[in-house]
Amino acid sequence: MNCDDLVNCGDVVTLSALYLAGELDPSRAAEIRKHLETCAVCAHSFAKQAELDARLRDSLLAENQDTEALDRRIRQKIARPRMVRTAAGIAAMLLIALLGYQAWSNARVSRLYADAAVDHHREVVDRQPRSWVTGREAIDALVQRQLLPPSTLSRFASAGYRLERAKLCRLAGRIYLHLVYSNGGGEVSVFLRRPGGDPVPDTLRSTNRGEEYLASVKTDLVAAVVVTDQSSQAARQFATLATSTL
Amino acid sequence: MPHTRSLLRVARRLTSEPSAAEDLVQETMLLAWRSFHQFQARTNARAWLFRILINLFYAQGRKRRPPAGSLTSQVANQPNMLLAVDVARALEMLSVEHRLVVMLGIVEGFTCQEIAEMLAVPIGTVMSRLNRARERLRVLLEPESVPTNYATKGAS
Repeated sequence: MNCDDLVNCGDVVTLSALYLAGELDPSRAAEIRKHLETCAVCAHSFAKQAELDARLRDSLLAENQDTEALDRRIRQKIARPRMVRTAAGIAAMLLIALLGYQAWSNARVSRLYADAAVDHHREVVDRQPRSWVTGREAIDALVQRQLLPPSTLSRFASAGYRLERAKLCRLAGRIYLHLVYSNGGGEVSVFLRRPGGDPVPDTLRSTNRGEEYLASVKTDLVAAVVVTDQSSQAARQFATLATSTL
Repeated sequence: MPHTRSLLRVARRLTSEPSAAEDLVQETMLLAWRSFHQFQARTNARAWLFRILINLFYAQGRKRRPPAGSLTSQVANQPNMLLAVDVARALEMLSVEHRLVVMLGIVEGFTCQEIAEMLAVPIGTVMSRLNRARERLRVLLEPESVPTNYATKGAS
């Protein structure tokens, strides 16, 4: 079989791009090589073409292009949206953390209020037997032991209530000084502690829990929770007095 | 960054200004970065990048292409001019399509099949464009070496 039957000069020209790119299947490439061995015109042309390709490559690849600035620009462009995404992620995490903290601290406040309400109901309304301190001096000693301001008891003097008794009790895992005030018709529990580690909100809050009215407040010197079955007004009055300066 | 040098080399031949070429490469890399999820299945990242670059180039239209043909007509008016021009000038005198296949096939070393996929044209189109571009370059770069009988044979 004559190879020229398979590949003529026209075919070689047509396939030259594939041949030069090394894309021809081996048998076809072999036919081309065979043709180039026998056809001087094609062989010359191919040699020239290979030279020209090499010259193009040498010339264009030698152009030294400084891509450092461009690379830097691209990296910055790519990094910026990532930074924005990261910032958004951090913001989202902070938000989640904040919401989580708020939920947690709300739960702590709820527990404190619940404990205070139960304590008031059991010990004051139901008068379950407890060892109360009743003398003024003894109560003052409790105040001092709890590191509360010496003026604590005088703060509530203007409320129109009389200090009946006091003891220490535990609300939401913390020790409070429990003062019981009475105006003859009803009683008010005032729970006080030196601030720190307690869930008492800084601003004056009032709420009710069943029959009990609650109010709470906190300053640098005292955290106070007031519980009474008298009125919400009475609860707020005591809470306000707890923070009053004399 | 890998491939930017290669991309920029080709982009420079497509655009009239270096800054336009850099912009084109930058856009290519950013688009590649954004659409990297589309890449996974492919194996040749370099061919993929060039495909993006070419698509962007064509999407931008002709506004950034260099003024074509000014030198070509000058040469055409002087058929006896045997003075060789330099490679860069010769490339400028090719059409954008021919310039692309030369850059991709001869300089960057892509196969005709890869170029056909990048340009979304049949492989036969790439082969004939390469042939004609090579002939044209030979005429421009080595006018004395072109055997007239051969050159006309392939240009049918």
